[in-house]
Amino acid sequence: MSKTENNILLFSITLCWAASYVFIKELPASLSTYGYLTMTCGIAAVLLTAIFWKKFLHITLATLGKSAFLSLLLTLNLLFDKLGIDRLSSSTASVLAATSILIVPFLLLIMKKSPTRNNLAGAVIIMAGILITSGFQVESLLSAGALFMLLSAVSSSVYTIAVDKVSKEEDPMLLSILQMWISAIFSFILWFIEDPSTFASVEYSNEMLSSIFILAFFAKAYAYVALMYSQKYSDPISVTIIASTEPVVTLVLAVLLPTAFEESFTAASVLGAAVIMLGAMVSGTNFLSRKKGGTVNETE
Amino acid sequence: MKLSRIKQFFIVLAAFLVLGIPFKVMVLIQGFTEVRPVNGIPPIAGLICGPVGAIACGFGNLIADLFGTFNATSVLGFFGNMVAAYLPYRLWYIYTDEEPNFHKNRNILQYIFICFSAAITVAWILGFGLYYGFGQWMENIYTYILFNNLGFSIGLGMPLFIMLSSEDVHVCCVSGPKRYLLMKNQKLRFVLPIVYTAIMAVIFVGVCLFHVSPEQQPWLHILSALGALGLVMILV
Repeated sequence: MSKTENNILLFSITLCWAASYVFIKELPASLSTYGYLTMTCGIAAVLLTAIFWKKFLHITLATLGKSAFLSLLLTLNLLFDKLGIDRLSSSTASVLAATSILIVPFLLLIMKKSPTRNNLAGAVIIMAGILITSGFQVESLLSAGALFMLLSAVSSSVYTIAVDKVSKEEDPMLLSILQMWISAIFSFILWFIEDPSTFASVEYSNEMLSSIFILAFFAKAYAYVALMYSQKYSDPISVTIIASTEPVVTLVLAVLLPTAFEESFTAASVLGAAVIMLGAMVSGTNFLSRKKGGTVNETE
Repeated sequence: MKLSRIKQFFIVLAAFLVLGIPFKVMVLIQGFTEVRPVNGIPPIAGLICGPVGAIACGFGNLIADLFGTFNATSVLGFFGNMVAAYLPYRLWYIYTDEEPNFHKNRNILQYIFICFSAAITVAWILGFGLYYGFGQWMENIYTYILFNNLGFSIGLGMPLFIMLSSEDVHVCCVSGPKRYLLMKNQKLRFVLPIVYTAIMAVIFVGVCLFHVSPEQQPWLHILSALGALGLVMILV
């Protein structure tokens, strides 16, 4: 897979996740977070198993263990994400979710895998762009929704770094399928503890079922399979950089689908989007490392 | 990974139904069209499965229509979706002997050109088909179909094909068309798709930017006739 192909794949995942806010908002408020995760991950798992059932012939205990670990991180990420989105506007939720752009390099530093100077400069510029886009207000930090979104960002950062290692060792498709199954099972157990009537308590409608199915297909099945494949040929920073362009994608979608998004097309949002793109470009190049004579991941 | 023709047909058909039916509730024009991520399928079905993929897309669209938009005009959707898959298959091999892949930037640009050509063709088949066959001119139909096809075939079809053609999956594509009956000349074969796309692009600019309709502008009929001729030459 070439670098361009990999970037296209990663960008398509960002597109899916940015668009998923529209469908999450369409779900009835009475639907439990655990129910939402059980249904979306469950449908994704069934779909992927139906298509790629032969992959199960190659399952090992190690693959199962690694998938379970990733699923745990994923479940935490998805839970916090849903809890955050329920309590915040989609723009604020996007901003806080994007803090993983700073968390991933920080975690890599702790693991003694130094990001390049360009990576760090790009991350700071992107974060500045995200703050401009959102018209950030400190008060929004003092809410339970913000805390949930930050926790989601932390778990997603750990997940990104873990996937980077695991996807290079195991079959990406098998990892995706197992993750979806285990996440669905985790979520169902939590849902059952919360409300033993589980599926019987859901208010079904055509629109709700469509939204669940769309989210299962795009935000779960497609996005996680694509993520496993692209991370096999990429590094955690590149993945996070492309994911951090989500506010730009959201802005473009808001222009194309004004009735579906609450975003307003302001000078600040355009400036912020431009700064984010600049940050992504700075991060994707290596002119700072060349000037100072540094190399990529020099302490690795 | 190589599949039999029957398996190819049913996989494309299933993908069409799985992606097509849930979006039937996201209606853009009642009784005619909706938001259609399923339009990401035809170009890659065409590139991977060739004519079999095209037939599966036609039938897939027809069956999906039964869940909300089925009427006499569904026959246009059947042909439109078949062409949306078959045209990319025919166009790809005009410009390269390589099996479809996006490993080079040139191939990505070629795919985008092919998707543009297919999208304006399908929009023309449905938009002008409704006018000539059913006496209805709806500019919105033309515009929505065009952007549905172009947006999803690039935004969804391209990454999907990248995964399918990666080293881990490596889906084998069918071989190229055996012949171009009406384009035997190599130079003509190279130039005609570009001229055809340019003609269709003029119609696109006229309809989408200047809001012209075939009721008022006779030149649209002339361009449509030329476009139809070009399309037949490419497809046969």
